Amino acid sequence: MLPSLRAFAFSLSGNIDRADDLVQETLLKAWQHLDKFEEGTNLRAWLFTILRNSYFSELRKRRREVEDADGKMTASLSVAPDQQGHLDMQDFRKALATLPPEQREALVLVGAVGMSYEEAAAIAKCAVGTIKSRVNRARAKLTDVLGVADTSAFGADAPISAILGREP
Amino acid sequence: MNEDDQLPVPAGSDKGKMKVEDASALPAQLGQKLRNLFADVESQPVPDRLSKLLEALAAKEKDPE
Repeated sequence: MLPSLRAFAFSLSGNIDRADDLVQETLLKAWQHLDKFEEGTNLRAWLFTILRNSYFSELRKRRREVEDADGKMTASLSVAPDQQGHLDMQDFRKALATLPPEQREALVLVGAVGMSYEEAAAIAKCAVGTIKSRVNRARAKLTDVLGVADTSAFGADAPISAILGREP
Repeated sequence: MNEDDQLPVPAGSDKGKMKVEDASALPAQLGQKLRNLFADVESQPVPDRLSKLLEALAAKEKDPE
């Protein structure tokens, strides 16, 4: 439970120290409100919900403080694969950080945690269609930022240069 | 991974623009990177302060003061 909570927190915040703080906050809140947890319901989903609520409420607080300076900067950030067409983890993390937080959340819940759209929608408190649309937009943005072409047209063994649409 | 492919999409929710209906259509390279990133953190040892907190909270629950 703790490892996947941490991984979720890290995927949202992009910072491992912040992730650990979020998990700590989540555990404390969970225990304070243990009476609100219904036995037999999904404990993981409940903890994920508390964690994302903490993350987003802090984000709103911080946004009010620093206006949108951060967002404007990351929005213009573009990350291109290196000359070998190698997409390394550092580039991927940077690209993930350029996504609007709501899109990042949807993408991580569905694409990394492996939740259904319904589960993800329950956690993000939005419609299933909204989750789908956020995942789609996140996917498009990442593809755009990283310059990775949709590989569905290529076989799994397609050379990286074909996938990336550039010469090696 | 997702079992909702047969469920109806709420009308108008995607504004008719989105062609990709499934996250599994995330370009293979991106999907793999996302899962790797998540798994990397998941496989790291949990810091003591968190596991100790969990223990302390569990103990408190057993013996409420």
